[in-house]
Amino acid sequence: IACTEIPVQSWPDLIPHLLSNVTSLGSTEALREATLEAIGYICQDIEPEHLQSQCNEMLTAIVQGMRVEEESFRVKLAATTALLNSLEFTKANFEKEAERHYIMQVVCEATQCKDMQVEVAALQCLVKIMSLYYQYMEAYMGPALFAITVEAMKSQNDEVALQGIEFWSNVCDEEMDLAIEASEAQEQGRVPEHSSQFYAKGALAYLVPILTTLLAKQEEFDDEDDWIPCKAAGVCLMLLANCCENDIIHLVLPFVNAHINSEEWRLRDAAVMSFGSILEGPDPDCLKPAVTEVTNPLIGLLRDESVVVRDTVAWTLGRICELLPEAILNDKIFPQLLEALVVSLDAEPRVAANICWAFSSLAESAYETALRGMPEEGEPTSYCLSSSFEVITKKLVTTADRSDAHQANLRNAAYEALMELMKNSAQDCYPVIQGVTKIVLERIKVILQMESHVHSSERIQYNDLQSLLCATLQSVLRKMKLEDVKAISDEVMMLLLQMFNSGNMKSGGVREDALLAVGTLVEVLGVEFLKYVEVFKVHLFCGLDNIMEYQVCLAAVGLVGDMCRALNTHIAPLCDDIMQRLMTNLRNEHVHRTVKPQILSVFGDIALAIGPAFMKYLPLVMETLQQASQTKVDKTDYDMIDCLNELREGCVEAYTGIIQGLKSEDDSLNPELESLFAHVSFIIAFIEEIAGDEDHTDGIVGACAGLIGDLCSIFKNPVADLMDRPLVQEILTEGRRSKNSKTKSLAFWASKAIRKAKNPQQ
Amino acid sequence: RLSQFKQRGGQSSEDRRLNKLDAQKKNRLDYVNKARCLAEEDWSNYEEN
Repeated sequence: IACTEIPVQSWPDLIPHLLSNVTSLGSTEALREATLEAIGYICQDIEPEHLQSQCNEMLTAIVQGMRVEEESFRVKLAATTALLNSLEFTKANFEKEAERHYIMQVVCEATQCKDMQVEVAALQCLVKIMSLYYQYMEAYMGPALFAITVEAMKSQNDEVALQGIEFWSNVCDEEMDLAIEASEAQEQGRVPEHSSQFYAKGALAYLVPILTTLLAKQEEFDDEDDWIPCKAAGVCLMLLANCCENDIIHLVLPFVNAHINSEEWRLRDAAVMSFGSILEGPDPDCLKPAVTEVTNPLIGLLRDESVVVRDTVAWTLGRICELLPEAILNDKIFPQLLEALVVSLDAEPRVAANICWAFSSLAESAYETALRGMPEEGEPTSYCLSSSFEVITKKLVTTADRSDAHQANLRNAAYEALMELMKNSAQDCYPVIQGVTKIVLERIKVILQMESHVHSSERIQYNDLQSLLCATLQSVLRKMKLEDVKAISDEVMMLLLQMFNSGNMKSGGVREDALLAVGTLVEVLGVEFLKYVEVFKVHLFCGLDNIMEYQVCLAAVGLVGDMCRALNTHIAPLCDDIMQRLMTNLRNEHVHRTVKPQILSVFGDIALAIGPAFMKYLPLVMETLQQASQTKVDKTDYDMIDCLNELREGCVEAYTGIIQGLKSEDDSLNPELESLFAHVSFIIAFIEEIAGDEDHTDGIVGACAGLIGDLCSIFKNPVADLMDRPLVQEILTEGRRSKNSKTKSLAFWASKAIRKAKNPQQ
Repeated sequence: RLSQFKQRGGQSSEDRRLNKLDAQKKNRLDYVNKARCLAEEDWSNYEEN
């Protein structure tokens, strides 16, 4: 009730009343507890701005309940929980030193409470205070927070230990953000707003031994969803490695070396886990010797008697393959590793899933290494996975088919690895790619025949498998030679159409992936796709109409773009139907916000494809773009800022496509373009609005530069003179300084186009 | 935090779908840049003064 009435000022005496309930000497324990609980619930649910004026009164009531003098643990717990919920409101109090000291004193004292629940709640407050008010913590870290949280980490009580660990994980999160802020500020030649106190680095030598001890407190048969100190310690160690970088290496390696061959499985697992946790953060060159030394013992431990150890080993090997591939891609380690990984694909699902991930990473890094060794761009003729490529691929196909592959996400992991291998394959692997294509098509056929017999309990698995097969199909189509794709395209299209036609196909995910697979076929076949347009168009329209499953609609909109680029003017007969649907979706307020920017971009694709035939849509499209260009959003909401940028980029892409689509080959003015001239001043004002918005992205800068260049190339001098405006010049300067080579090229090109338009003799 | 424990990299189906959107954006830009004959001049070594 309070959350409804306070915002409209219809219960002004509530908070004073609650304060009096807590502070009056005559109040019973039950009344104080219930009152503080009510305050806690109000703080949890209400928007902070509605309580700003009453914040002090509430805090007074809460702190009163938390004081050492309060004898009731129930009241203390309600007060501490209320404080936890109110911390976002108390910014003004934390800014005042005396009030901050008092709040911190009360919270720190509550962490020493004999009641475990109060202790945990107070520690939760410290965790949250660290995130919200990091910049004020210097005075408390040395004298209090360090000792309180380190003791909590050592507690025999899991709930207390978890909060102690979480405190330091949070410190790492904060300090990594501050490190990013510092490097951005340095790049821009300014002083950062907030600076790191490097608490994690300072505490590292004390934290690591506690964490490695906690790592060895695993349960043999834990539930994977249980959050227990040994898992929290693993995450904390990983965050400390990211935050403190090289400093952690010498603190962890002695523990790894001392216990990796221990008789006790918990210690072996803790040793491997701690090693796996520090692989990201430190300089790869500093880690490389240790990785070289440890990989062989790790390969041996893939056969450990404990499944927990085998799982951690497989995860660590996966991380090595992902983060430090150069340490293992050598003749000494690689052959043995590869053999061991293939064998371990037969292990328990949780282990095998990690092995699949290792193969995904290996494929990518092996391919990149081969590319680096090539004098020119192109596909390497061979690479280090070539000789084992067929064996690995076959084994992954078998793994994806295992009857227990639904456990631990194994089926997904196996298909993902297969896709990465296809994508990152050398020329001499081509026969295997062709073989996998056959297998994928065969599996799609089989699964479509099963459609009517699928039990409802297996429907999710069945749909996931269809999605994965569509995605794998895309990965092989991208690698195949055009003549080979042409040879199978009828079969591919027939299966995809069957998938769309399948009556029971209720999953949006499958429709989406099937549309994406058609998109890949369109990209690969180009204009050859034309022969399928007539039978396929009904499914495209269905996708465009499917606004309830917006991802399906989004995929269909994207596919229109792919078809435009592939078919060019041949798409014209479909355009009335497509445009009508796109316009309807734009006008519909229920269409998801991510779809609308893509629709605008696709207007540009259609104009580019059909050229002057776009004229019949031009008036309505220009009016729509003008409306979309004027969209305003709440700039305090980051999601809305992203949304606005996407919408604006969609508008710029649409303007670009339309101008490019309507222009003559020799850039001379034609009647179609003359009808656009009336919109030029609005478009330039729109570019100025984007330029003046400090939240614009690099992508939008590039798109604007391209549009400026197009306008000048076509309309020449009268428009080029309009480009002297400061904001237009600013966005071009920003583009020329961009680190993105495409943005940079576009901005230089646009600047040259302006000069050329002003002085055609140059 | 639980999702950070033994976290694996790799691509989810969501990532793959987002990659496709990015690829479409790139194809669109490449298509118009081709029309702009941007490739005729190499701008990568230009520096802003």
